[in-house]
Amino acid sequence: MSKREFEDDYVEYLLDQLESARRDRFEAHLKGCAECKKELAELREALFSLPLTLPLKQPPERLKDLILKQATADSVLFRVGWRQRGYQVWALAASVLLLILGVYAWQQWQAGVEMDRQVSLLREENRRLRESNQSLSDRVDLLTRPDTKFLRMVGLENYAGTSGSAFLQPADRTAVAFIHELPSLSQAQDFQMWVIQNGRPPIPSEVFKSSGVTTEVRLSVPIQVNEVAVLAVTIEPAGGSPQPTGPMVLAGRFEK
Amino acid sequence: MGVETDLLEKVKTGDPAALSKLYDSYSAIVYSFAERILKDAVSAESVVQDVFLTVWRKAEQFSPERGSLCTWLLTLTRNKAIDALRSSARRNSTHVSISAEPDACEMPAGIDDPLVNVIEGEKRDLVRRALADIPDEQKIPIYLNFYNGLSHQEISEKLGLPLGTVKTRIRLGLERLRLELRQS
Repeated sequence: MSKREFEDDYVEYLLDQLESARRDRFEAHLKGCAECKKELAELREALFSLPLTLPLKQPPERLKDLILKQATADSVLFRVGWRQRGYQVWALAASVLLLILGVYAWQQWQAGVEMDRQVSLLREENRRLRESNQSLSDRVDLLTRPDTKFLRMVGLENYAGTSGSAFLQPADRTAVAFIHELPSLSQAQDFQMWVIQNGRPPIPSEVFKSSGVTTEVRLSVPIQVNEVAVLAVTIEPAGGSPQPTGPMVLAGRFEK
Repeated sequence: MGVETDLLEKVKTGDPAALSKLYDSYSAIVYSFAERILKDAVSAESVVQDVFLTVWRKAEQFSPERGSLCTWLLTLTRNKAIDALRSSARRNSTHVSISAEPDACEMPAGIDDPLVNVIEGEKRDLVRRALADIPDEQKIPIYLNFYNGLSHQEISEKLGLPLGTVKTRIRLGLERLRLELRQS
């Protein structure tokens, strides 16, 4: 079996999404394919670099004591003396290594001024990226909260290829919609979202443009979530309208 | 051999001081990751305990050819946290719930070596920059699987996208992340 045959499997394997027969075949192949092993290791490194962007939080102090006590108890019960013999050699090697790294760190420190400037630039960029990451986490959070209401949106008449889904959060009256394959508009037009209650005029909401294959729209909902009957998107003059004037592209009714 | 793997070699010899240093270096990221998945401090502590005792008892299972020590620790963390998440969801018959992120803490814990800390900090920045270049439509399904343990099928239903599209977006997103990190 060739490497090519398994190219689509790397990611699903890492995410534990391969069905068992396929996984067994992939693992059997991995044993004899250094190239696939390397490829998989690289993808694993990339995937598990994601938590490095999380805000760091320290576990409680007592946890370390608990773990070390348990480890020591393990040693008494299970570990054997011969393992200790290598300790001093490794300790010496580690000390030498730390000394070398220390000298290197000292040289780096001497290059200080330029590095300080770079660090300050990087901190600023870091802050911006952390905010962006937080915003993305908030959206994932919204999608997975148990009280989130789900709505499937369907393209109407001439817009059958358009579809979407919306997730509405009752607690903070926010929603996020993912709309796929919106039609092209002229410069003088925008899309506009409408929040509709039964028997009431539509309430104007977000005005937006298409941003590629999938457009994400975040909106605040001006009424109680359980009063929302329909979300709809129309085409309006640029900047939006107080009442719908253009064709309706897609709409969906909230499941009660 | 790096400082990290050197510490692991000491752990293999049964040196509790090495385990203590390893804990100082990685407990914050392991705990933060577990708490991100479980959204519960007590359960996250239990995962941290489990991870470091696994390291202590089965350090020989670490294989550098499969990835770095940090990746191994985070793989153990994710496996244990997702298992806990699923068994808790089964017990409570509820969906996965996520609360707000913990407050940011500027400085992570680190090995007692300034160079190693600088390198770790640089890697964090690299990942943040790499992620900024990946479209949200690819990141969101990756996050839903990675942090919430949702299957591709569940993500497809959640986002109202065909299963094939979800798989493609996840694959493209991860391959792009790998490429960005490789080029950095």
